[in-house]
Amino acid sequence: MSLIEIARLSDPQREKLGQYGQRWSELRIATEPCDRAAAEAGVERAYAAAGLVPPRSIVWGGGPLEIANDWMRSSDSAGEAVRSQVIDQICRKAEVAVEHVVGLGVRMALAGELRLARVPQFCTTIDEAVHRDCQRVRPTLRARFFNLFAPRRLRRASFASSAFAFHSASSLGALEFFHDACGLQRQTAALSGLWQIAENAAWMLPHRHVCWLSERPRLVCQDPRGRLHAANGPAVGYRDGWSAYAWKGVLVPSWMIEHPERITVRTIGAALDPQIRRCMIEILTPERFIAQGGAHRIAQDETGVLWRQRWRWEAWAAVEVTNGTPEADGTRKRYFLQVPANMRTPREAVAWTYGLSETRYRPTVRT
Amino acid sequence: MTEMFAQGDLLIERVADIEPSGTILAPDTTGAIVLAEGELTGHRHAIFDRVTMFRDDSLAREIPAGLYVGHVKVEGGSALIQHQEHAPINLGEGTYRVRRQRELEPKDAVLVAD
Repeated sequence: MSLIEIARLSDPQREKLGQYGQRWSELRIATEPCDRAAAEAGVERAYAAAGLVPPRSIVWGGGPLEIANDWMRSSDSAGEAVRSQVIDQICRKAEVAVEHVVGLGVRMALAGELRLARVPQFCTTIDEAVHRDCQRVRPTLRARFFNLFAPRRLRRASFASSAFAFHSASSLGALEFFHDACGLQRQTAALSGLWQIAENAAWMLPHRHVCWLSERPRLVCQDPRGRLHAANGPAVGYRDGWSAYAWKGVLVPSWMIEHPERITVRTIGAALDPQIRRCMIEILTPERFIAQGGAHRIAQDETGVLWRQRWRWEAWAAVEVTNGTPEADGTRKRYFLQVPANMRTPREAVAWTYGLSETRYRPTVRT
Repeated sequence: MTEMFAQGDLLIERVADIEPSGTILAPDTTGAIVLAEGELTGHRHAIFDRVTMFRDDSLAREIPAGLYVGHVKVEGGSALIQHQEHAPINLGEGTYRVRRQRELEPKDAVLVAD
């Protein structure tokens, strides 16, 4: 006998799927202050679903760094970390239960709703920035010493493995859809507390007796491709004052955005990280980088000019092209397209930008 | 030689005539079939003539991920691709495959052993 309860989604369910995609997409970029009472009620339900007594206290922070600092200073009376029981195991159980009762058609429909099926790139970059800075939050020397001898269950793990970011929850939105729109309450009811927290808080760091919650960010900036990006200030910032800067999904030092005038051919050459170096070139603009002597002219043909620069461990190249159509004043706009550094001719470089080989790129008309 | 047209950051190549398959893309509220729209400028590569645009990933397997825009089938006369910054391109009857241009991004940067 087949255990499949839902072979495919009905039209109203498909419509709802889109609505839930939109709802979770909006939750991920929400910046309003949290409804703390609602989040705290969710914590009680989430602990109960995991078979735990609700925490004795719930501690709020303006952002993840503030809760990381408070968590590090806390004593052993907070009890052991319970993220695994309260979040990971509950989610996994529900995912498995739902997988058993939905058919391939439902899974394909879900895979097509990318807002539910994938964690957006900007969310993982926020986590990367938060984990990087929270990793630097260290317990006191005394606490670290006693941690060596503490029972295994009480040993303090890292912030990254103890805390949970709701914007990066991979399955909560889809499971809420199955609960509300597909009648799979039995498989997903244990998640009600987590949905309530997700709607009203950003980060959660649950221990047996204390649960830390963080407010939502006060700003989140993305580019049109969904990457964490801001050209004029922090790309993400929380209410505790912590913020991070990003350029097209790459975390960059604040000075690159706040003081772009400090980016020169020399600072670009001195950069150690190739991704940071490329961000510097983009902020300066490839045109100015080349004009200031940053790259060498390698070759020229009827498609454009190829420029390249090599450093100790890395190389950069761009092809300079002009618009096929002149402007009203007769001039032609120039563009610099960054290409792989192993390009040998401008034609090969332009062909690469279209995913073609050099021999196949032969436009008969170009405007 | 394949008939190939470049309009700004779009490349349009003539392919063997085929029947539309995959997803048929409808015109927008202005009646235009929009091939691509600038992320920052909002400028559009658009066709206002009667054509069928469809997207079938199985017809674009050799195109690198993310570049395939779709196919355009022109029937019953020619069609004009228009854009605010570029001169129009006239497509005769037939089927065309459209792809967009890419650029190396900071995230693509890797260290190379030189």
